[in-house]
Amino acid sequence: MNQIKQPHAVTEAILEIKDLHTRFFLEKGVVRAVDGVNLVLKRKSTLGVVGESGCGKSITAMSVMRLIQSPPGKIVQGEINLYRKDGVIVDLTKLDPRGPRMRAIRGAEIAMVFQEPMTSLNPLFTVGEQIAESVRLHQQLDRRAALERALEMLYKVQISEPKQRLHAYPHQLSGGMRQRVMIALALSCNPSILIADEPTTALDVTVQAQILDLMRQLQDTIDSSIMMITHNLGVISQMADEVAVMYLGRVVEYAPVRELFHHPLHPYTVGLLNSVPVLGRKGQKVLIPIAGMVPTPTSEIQGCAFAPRCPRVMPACHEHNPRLESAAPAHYVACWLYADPPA
Amino acid sequence: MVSSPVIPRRRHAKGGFVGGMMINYILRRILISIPLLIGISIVSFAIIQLPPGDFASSYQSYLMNQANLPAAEAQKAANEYRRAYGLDRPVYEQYFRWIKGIVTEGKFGYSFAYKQDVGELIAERLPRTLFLAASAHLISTLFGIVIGIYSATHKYSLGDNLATVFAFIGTAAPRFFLAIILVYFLVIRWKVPYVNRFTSPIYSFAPMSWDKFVDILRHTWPVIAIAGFGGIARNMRVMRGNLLDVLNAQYVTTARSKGLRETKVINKHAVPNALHPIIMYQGTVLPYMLQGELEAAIVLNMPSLAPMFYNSLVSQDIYVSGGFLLVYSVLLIAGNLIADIVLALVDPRIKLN
Repeated sequence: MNQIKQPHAVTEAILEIKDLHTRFFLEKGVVRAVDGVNLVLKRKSTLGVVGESGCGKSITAMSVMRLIQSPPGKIVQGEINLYRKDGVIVDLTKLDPRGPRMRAIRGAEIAMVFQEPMTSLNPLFTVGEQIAESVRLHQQLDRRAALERALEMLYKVQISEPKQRLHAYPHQLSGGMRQRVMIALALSCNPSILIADEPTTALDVTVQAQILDLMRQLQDTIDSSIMMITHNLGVISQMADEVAVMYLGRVVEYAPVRELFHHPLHPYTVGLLNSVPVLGRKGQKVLIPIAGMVPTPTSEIQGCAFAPRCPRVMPACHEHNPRLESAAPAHYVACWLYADPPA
Repeated sequence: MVSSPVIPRRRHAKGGFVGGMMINYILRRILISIPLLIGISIVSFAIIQLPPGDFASSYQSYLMNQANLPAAEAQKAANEYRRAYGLDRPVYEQYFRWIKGIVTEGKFGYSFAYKQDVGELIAERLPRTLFLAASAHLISTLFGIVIGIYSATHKYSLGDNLATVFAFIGTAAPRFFLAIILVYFLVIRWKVPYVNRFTSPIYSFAPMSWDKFVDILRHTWPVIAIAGFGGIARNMRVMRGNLLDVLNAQYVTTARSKGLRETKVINKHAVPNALHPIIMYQGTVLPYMLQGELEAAIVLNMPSLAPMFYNSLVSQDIYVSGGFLLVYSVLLIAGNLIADIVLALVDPRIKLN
């Protein structure tokens, strides 16, 4: 199996995804949404997961939450190891997604913020009720104490007039405020992992910056590791400690953020970085798009998934799927340019 | 950080809406419905008068055919009848007399066939009709929602498919036809006595009691079932479709991501959001149920408003038809008003103004 050979990382890991395969069994074929993902989320750090739409980054997150709708979705292979505070390691793929053990983890130890703040809150309940519901579920508190905790969280996410907002309904709040509420909700039970799936994509640029600022500030005060899923490299550069680049259900490169931006190794990562404008970058006048199209999701891929679009493709790329391997200290890449293909 | 946040007293979520605004709204809606009712009364009175002839003509043919009176004498009697009851006056005059009676004396006119005040006739039978329609409404809402929830959460299962077949039959089968089939089974096969009554004779004059209530249900269930059947089917399909939509909503995923039980996710977060169209549709369901009660009760000849209305149309007993249509319109308007109020109570996003 193509595992990350990094014993050091494993000791400080809080979440370790090993060779995860999540598939959707549809009438038109099997979609290999996640096709052998390896990731490590370190304690108290932020992992950025970046890739195009449909590369499997959200499905990876939903697999960790065990919220893949089944049928048609299914985790067919791999491990998702959660390193709990008491030292016990739990493989989440072995738990019943609707069972009490998974429900005790969901929302309490691993919480999630979604992309669509406009629709992610229930329109029929007040903001306070929705936060308090989670608090009451995981921490044996009465209604009043849970509402106090909810109010405290609203202060933490720096919402204006939190006492009034506590009794507001979602439709009375703006998108930015709703996303703050979602963050308050997610952090209300002090989760050790916060998964943020494109938390700023649906927001105005100015509000995006505010939400990112807030998350950065919160990260200093809370004890959570963050898995930040985005297609926005700017967000990654601001937020992440480590970055995993995904392409078609696989992690193609994994490195500390500065290392990745300054020394990208995988041709796909290089292509991504060349296709976005960078303020003040000299010598480059045009943006270079990545040639070709993402293949249809139901097709089975032989060899490297990026080979059909890769400018540096070699014969071996069509034959064998490269493993994620160390190419520099703490820098991992799945590419035959940096490893010897099997003969 | 806030050390000890003080929870402010919860302001009423709808900003005092339950108090003044609500009463204001209801009053305004009632005022608006007055011109509507006037319009309905004009149109329905005109339509009732459309068929050629009047009650006196039926009276005339009755005298000739049944009492063997010569044509001239029968004609004379009919003309006297017309004069006595104002049937020889122009239609608009008859209309104004009718409305004047309702407004000034609270009298809905005189029934030629029953020789009785229409108001009394309706007052006697309306509670029975309302009981039948409300019962049909209740079972159609209750069963419709419950089966709909089951269908949506067990999509494409055997139970869901059975419910779908049932729903298609329920919407497609004409109710009078179902009523005829039921009459066949009740009367010919099961030999049930007293099909066309609300109670067994021994309870006819008995005060209301549990036993009498059970007896009433034993006599009325065919009408309730037939009137409610289509409603169950409709509610079920609406509920199924909406719940399937809502189950895909992001906030349902949010609820799951909190670690809530699946039953709680569905019953607390999904179902209330899927109820909207059912509630909105309540306004039109009441007339639909009355109509169902009408069809079933006519076939089963239950002494409710329905057969009386039907007979009044046949014999051109105009004030009975008119009174029934007025009552029917009031119920329709009331049903819509109640639906709007309930919707506003359920959904914080809706304001009544």
